[in-house]
This record gives sequence, C-alpha cells and structure tokens, in this order.
Amino acid sequence: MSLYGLMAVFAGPEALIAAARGMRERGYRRMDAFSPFPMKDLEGILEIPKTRLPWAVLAGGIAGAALVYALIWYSVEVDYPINVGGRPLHSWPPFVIIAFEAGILGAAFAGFLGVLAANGLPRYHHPVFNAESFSYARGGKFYLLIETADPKYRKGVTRGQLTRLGAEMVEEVEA
Amino acid sequence: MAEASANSPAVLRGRHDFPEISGRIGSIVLGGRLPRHFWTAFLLCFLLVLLLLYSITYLIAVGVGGLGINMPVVWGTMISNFVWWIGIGHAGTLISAVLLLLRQPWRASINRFAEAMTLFAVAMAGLFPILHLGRPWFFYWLLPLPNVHMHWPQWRSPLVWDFAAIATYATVSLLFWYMGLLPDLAVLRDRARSRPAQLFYGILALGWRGSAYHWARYQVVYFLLAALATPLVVSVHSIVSLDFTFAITPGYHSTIFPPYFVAGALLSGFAMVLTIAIPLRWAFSVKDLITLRHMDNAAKLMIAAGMVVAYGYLSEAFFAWYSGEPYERTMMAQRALGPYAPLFWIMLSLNCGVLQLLWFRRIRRNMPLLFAIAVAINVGMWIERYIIVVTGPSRDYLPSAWGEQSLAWLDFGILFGSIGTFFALVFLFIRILPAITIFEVEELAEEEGKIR
Amino acid sequence: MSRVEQGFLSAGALGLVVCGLGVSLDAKAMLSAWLSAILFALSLPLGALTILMVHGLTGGRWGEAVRQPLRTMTALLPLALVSLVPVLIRLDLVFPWAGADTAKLQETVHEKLVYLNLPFFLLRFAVCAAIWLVLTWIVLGTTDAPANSNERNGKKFALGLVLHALSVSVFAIDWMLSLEPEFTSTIYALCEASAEVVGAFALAILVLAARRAVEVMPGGEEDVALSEDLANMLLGFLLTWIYLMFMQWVVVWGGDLPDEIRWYGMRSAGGWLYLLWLLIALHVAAFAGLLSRRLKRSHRGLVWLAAVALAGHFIDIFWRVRPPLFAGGPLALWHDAAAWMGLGGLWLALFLFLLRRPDRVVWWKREVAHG
Repeated sequence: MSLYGLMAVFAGPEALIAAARGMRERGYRRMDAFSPFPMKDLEGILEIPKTRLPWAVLAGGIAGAALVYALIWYSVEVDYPINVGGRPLHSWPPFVIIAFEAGILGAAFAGFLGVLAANGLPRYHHPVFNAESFSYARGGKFYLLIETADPKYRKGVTRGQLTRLGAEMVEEVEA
Repeated sequence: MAEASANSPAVLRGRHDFPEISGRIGSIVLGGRLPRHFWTAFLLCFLLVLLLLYSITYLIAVGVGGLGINMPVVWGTMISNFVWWIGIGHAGTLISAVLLLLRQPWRASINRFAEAMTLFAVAMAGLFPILHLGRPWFFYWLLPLPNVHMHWPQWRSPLVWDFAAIATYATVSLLFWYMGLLPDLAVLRDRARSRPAQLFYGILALGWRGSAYHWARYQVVYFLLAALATPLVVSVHSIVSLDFTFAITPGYHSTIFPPYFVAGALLSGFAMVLTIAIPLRWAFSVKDLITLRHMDNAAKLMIAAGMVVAYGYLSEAFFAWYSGEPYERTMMAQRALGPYAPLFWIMLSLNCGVLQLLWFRRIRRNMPLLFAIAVAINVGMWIERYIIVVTGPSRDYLPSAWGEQSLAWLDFGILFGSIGTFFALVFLFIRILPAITIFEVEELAEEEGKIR
Repeated sequence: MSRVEQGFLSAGALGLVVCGLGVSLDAKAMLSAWLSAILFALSLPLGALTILMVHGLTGGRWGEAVRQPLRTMTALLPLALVSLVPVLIRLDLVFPWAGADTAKLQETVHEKLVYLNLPFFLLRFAVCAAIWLVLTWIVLGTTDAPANSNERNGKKFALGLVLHALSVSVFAIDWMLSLEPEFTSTIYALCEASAEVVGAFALAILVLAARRAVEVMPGGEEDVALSEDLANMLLGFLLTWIYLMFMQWVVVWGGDLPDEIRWYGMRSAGGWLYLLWLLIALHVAAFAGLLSRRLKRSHRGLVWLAAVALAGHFIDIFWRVRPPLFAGGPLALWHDAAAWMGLGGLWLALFLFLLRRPDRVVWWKREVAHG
C-alpha cells in the first residue's frame, strides 16, 4: 500500500494561505490546495501557470464560424445555386448572422470541454477522496496536500511542519 | 459597480458560517422535507402540464386550424408565446453573465435560479415555432441534413437563423449552468446520506475536488463563457425580431425592433425573476441570502428596460407617421383605435403606466406590491407581443383583405399549459438541485467579512 | 494661454477666414461641409453628457477617472451650439425639404411637411438646445465633487437621461435623417446616440492616457488595471454601436425597399465606397485590438486604440451625413478641410485651455469654489 501524500486540514482560508506560503518557502513543490470556493492568492503561491484555454476558446469560435460559413457558401454557390427573391447567391449579411451563432457555439464547447480536459475531469477516483477528512459536506474546510513524490518530503518532518503551520489535523492519504 | 451606500440594504444580511450556508441551501434538496404548500402548488402546475400535453395532442391531431388564427392573420399566439418565453429567458442570462462581467456582488445568490429560469423558458419557447409549423414532425427540415430532395435550408430566411440562435442559446445556457453547478454538486455529493443520492450527485459532479489548479482554469473559462453569453443573448432576441422586420408588412418592417425587443425581453425577464424570487425567499426563509437589495436592483433594472421599451413604442408610432406611407399610418391608427384597441391600451397602461410606480423606493421594497407589479408586467409584455404579431398582418396592403383573428380555447390551453410546465420544472429544479449557489455565497460571505 | 493653444486658435481663425471665402464662392457647398464638421464637434459634448449621467446613476470607479475630460467636453456644448448658427440661417441650402420648390419632392415627403418645416424645426432646435444647456449646467454642477453620493442625484440623472434621449433623437432625426427626407429608420437615433458615446469615451481615454500613465494608475476594480477597465468599457460601447449599425443594415437589406436601400446605395457608390471600407477597417482594428489584454495594459496600445475608435467615430459621422450633400469631384473637399481647420482649431484651443484650468469649467461657481 503506497502513500500518495499528506493532507492537512485548515479551518479557514487565511490559515490555508499562510500554510501554503509557509510550505512553499520551505521548498515544497508538489503540493495542491483544495477549497470550497476559488482563492485568488493560491495561484501565486502555488505558481500555477497561466492557462492557455482562452486561445482554445478563440480557436473554437473561429472554427465554428468558418465551418458554418463554408458550408453555407458551398451550398449556395456550388451544390445548389438557386435565385431566391433576386438576392445574390452569396448574400453575406444573413450568412454572417448564422456564422456568428455557430462561432459562439464553437467557442462555448471549446471552453467547456477544454476546461474538463485540462482538469482531467471526469475522474471519479482520485487519491484525495481516500482521505477520511476530505469532504465538502460541512462547507468550509480547507485542505493542503503534500505529495510523497516531492523531493523535500520526509514523513515525520513534513507532518511536523504542517502541524506547526496551524493544521487542525494531518492525515496520510493512500494512493 | 455601485457601492452599497448607507441606506441601501446589504447584499448579504447577518453573519454566517460555512457549515450553515451549505447546510441550509443543501438541506432544501437533501432534507426532502418541503413545506406542504410546495407540493400543493406543484400539483396545480402538474395539472397544467397535463393540459399542455392534451392541447398539443389536439393541435397535432386537428391541425393549426384549432387555434384562433385565420387569414390574413396567420401568425398568432404560437409566435407571441415564443417571443414572450424567449424574452423571459434573457433576464436569467443577463443576471448571471452580465453581472458577472460587471463584477456585481449581488448576483451571487440569485444567479443559479435565474439560469435555471433561462433554461426552462428556452425549453418552452422552443416548442412554439415547431408547433406553429403545421406539420411539426418535419421540423428537422430546418437543419442542413442530407435528404432525398437534395435541397438545403433557405439560409436567407430569419426562421432558419432563429433555429440556429435558439439551439445555440439553449446549448450555451446549459453548459454555463452546468459548469456553475459543478462545485455545488460536489458539496451535495459529500452531504448526501443515501446511496442513490450519492450516486446521482456523485456522477453529476464529475469528481470535482476543488483543487487550486482546477479553480484557476475554471474561473477563467467561466468568465469567458459569461463573455460569450452576453452578445449571444442580444443576438438571439435580435434574430427573433428579424423574423418580423424582414417582412415588409406594415408594423413589422422597423429597424428599431432588434434593440427594442431586447429591452422588452429584459423587462419581462426581470418581472419573471421577481415573480419567482419573491415567493421563493418567503417559502424557504432565505430572506438573508436573497435580500431586499436584490429585489430593489431587479426593480430598478425593470424601470431602465421599461424606459427603452417606452422609447420603442414612441419611436414606432412617430415613424409610422413620419414615413409618410399611408399603410404604415393606417396600421398604427388601427392598432390604437381598431379592433385590437382595448388590448393596445391595456398594454400601454401596464408597461408604461403601472411600471412607473417602481420609481418610488417604498413601492420597490414592499414585497406584495412588487409581486403584483411584476405579474402585471408579465401580462403586459405578453399582450405587447400579441399586439405586434397580429396588428400588422390584420391591416395589410390590401384593404379588402383586412381581417382579424380570434383566440380559441386551444390558444389559452397551450399558453397556460406552458406556464404550468415552466413552473413545474422550476419546482422540480428547487427539489433536485441547489437553487442558490453555495460556493459563491460562501465566497461572498468571506469577502464581505460576514463569517462568524 | 499656452503656445499650443495660441497655435490652435490662430489655425482656427485662419480656417474661419477660408470658410468665409468658401461661403462667398459657393454658400451651399461650404455650409454642407460645415454641417458635417459641426455635427462631429457637437457629438462629443452630447456623448459626454450621456456618459456622465449614466455614471451618475450607476456609479463605479471607471467613471471617476474619466470624469475630468468628460466634463471639459461637456463644457464645450455652448460653442458647438453657436457654431450651428450659420446653418440655421440658410437651412434651405442644406435641407431639401426647406428648399423653395416643395413641388419637386416626392409624395411621401409631402406628407411629412407638417413636421419638416422651418418654424417647427427652429422651435424643436431651440427646445433641444435649452434642454442640453440646462442638463450641462446641472451635470457640471453636480459632478464637481470627487465622489458624490448617487442617492441624492439618482432621480435627477434618470429624468435627465429621459429628456436627453428624447432631445438627441429629435436632433438626429432633424439634422441628420431629414437630409434625405424620404429615408426613415427607427433605429437611426439610437445609432447616433451610441456613436456619440463611443466618440466621447474614446476622446476621454485619449486625453487621460496622453497626460498620465493610465496603465499603472490605481482605480480599476480589484486586480484589474484602470486602463483595462476603461478599454473594456470602450469595447462595450463600440460593440453596441456596431450592433445597432449592423441591425439597421440587415433590416434595410432584408426589406430592400427603394426609399431605404438608396441610402446605402449612395454611400457605397463611387469614392464613398473607399470611405466605407475605411470605416469598416477602423472598427475591425479597434475591436480586434480591444480584445488583446497586452494592448489594453500598455500605454501606447491604449492611446492607439482610443485614437482608432475616435477616428472611426469621425468617419462614421462623415459617412452618414456628407454624401447626400456632396457635389463635385474630390477637389471640392477643400470646403471640408477649411471647416475642420476652423472648427477644430477653435474647439481644440478651448478644450485644452479648459483641461488645464478645470476650475473654469463651472465658471458660474468660481466664487463658491474659491471661497
């Protein structure tokens, strides 16, 4: 039975931030924080890289719009050219409207699927769920996880450091 | 943007702690002990669902002749219901997306049910154009599917744009809503005691664990989805209005329709938000989470949207005269004085008259009165759509062919059936999913320093 | 008066002299050119008035920063109104419905001569001007303090916005739409109002960024630089304008009625087509640029974005107003150059002067301010 890491429980957001900062200063790299709501400060402390998902959204939008516009253009100019109401075959004003809708749809799908893929969700089995204390049932608990894979990780030392940084409880998490 | 000033009520009242917030919101769903009047109301709505099913079956069996429509007015309640419902949906997106972009803290506790309201309203709206087709089973002809006739949809027709717009709107609203739900589903997953509930919320939560890495990406994309939803809302109702303006029928062909329809959508949408929120905060005693501030702001937005709508009325009437076209002028005169005049004046007195009461703070903060005004605006906006739909074709370019349509029982059966179905869905939503966003209220409480 | 202001003033004076020459040569051509220049100059104070009142209603930190340039713009309203007088004297040269032979007008235009006639036109203009002057007086007076409570002025601004919306609509119909009296578009006044807001806001950002390092100024919402907040507002206003203009075009395209589509036909024929492409290119550039966070956060980027948006607004007004009045080849544009020089010189001289001496903006309150 291998160990995945140590999970420390904190009572409030400030305690978690202080502990994350403390562990960072002690040189830990492979750690993760868990909170019931987003905490902006953690991004800087954990040095979370800036996400490139906005580009995926942009690409999705452009792809959706271009595909649909191309489809319409193909249908009116190549596959079935027919004069309707004396309008030009390539009537761009209405076509732009449909392409706009398709662009929004493409961008939204790219964003939604992109964030799931980048976050590795859905993933129903993750080691952190093995921790007894890990639960959002009571709303506001804040967790800091130090992975055993971290080069600085020493079982007793790390536990002691976490306790000194104000953890209510430190638990071993099995992989 | 607006700072809470001294005498405007707070977004969040009282002091809270995290277990209390998640517990109170979560127990509405998981506790399963809903007040008796909840189920009484649901039963009433369920009867209306049955009415809707019966009416639709009748409509399909008999044909659109069962409705009150008649030559030359072949657009009737199906179209006005459609415009009305889609408009109601828009306020939900506005609250959740635009207020997020503008970083308005007061969206936190009402965005969830506003988004749900959007979804259900769009679901209702989507029914009507299809029912109106006459042969609803061929609705897929609107899609560019390969078929034996080798033909394509008519891309220049606003009805095809409508299809694209409504489908996109429904999908994007669903994605946005579901994404906002994920963290709360994780809370319910952890709170649930029974195995079926654990499985249900567990599967839906997709294994969300609140990692800081996840939150970072989540927030960026959630914000982007909001940024996408905003132009989408405007485009959807504009496209709905283009259904009218592309025709050169008197009263239909007017360039102001797109922004004017969008404003009308917001007016009726905020009226519906209040119609749902006022009973909700009373029945589930969440008056400290959904506070007077929310009600007050929604009422103010109604006034703002209502003024734009009034500008639209004025502009339509003036330009009908200013166009110098006899048919435009006649149509407008007939709208005000002809067979539909009573409806026209009721509409004006509700949307332009009753609405003005909201200028007074005392009225905005009197909940029974505000509820009554919201219901009145809902009615007024339905009449507005009906007036727009029917008066144009009834006074067309050929005076010898002028005529009116009536309203048959089927028109009302489908309208009230859809209202009942909408509320039944809202009830089911309150029963099954958290109607108030747990994680955002917790975040808000933390930011405002209201944690015990 | 600084040297720059003196320079602008003398350029303006020179321009006015050339304009006078133009009037003596061909009064109709000169007044037509003057009209499109003054409509641009007037659009800025009107837009500034809108933004100031909206901000007075909603509050928000973005507005505090741009308040000073907007107030200065608003204070130039009287100058712009006075500059309309030459056109008012000879309306018959500019507006087809005011001409001597109404018999030549088409039937639908005949029908609206009850509205489009000289006395009523002048009356409407007087009412609009009075409303704007009162609003200017109120807005400049109440937005004086650095942070005033919205509670007290909320109703005042709401009522002001209602009056402003009506007067801007009447003005847009009278002075712009009725240049081609057979054309009607119910959305036209909204297009004009939103264009005014874009222009005024772009100029305000430009002034703010030209003088100070706005990208590092505090005052944005949390974690966001002020420059980015302002740029996002500009993007919102710009998108509104693009939306309204596109909707007018789509609806007119869909109806394809002769009286309506002719409006677009004239504006995309001959040399005007190049202007239309320029208009589109400027707005595409502004839109694409405003999506980039890097540009929005850099000083030069912001200056460029605001300048492009302002140029787009200028081209927009010129493209909407000028074509029906234009006669002769490209050389006839010297009338326009003279009008821009005269009006622009005066306007800029006064604008810069007031910008440097903000206490002069509310001249009637000077004693109070000092005492």
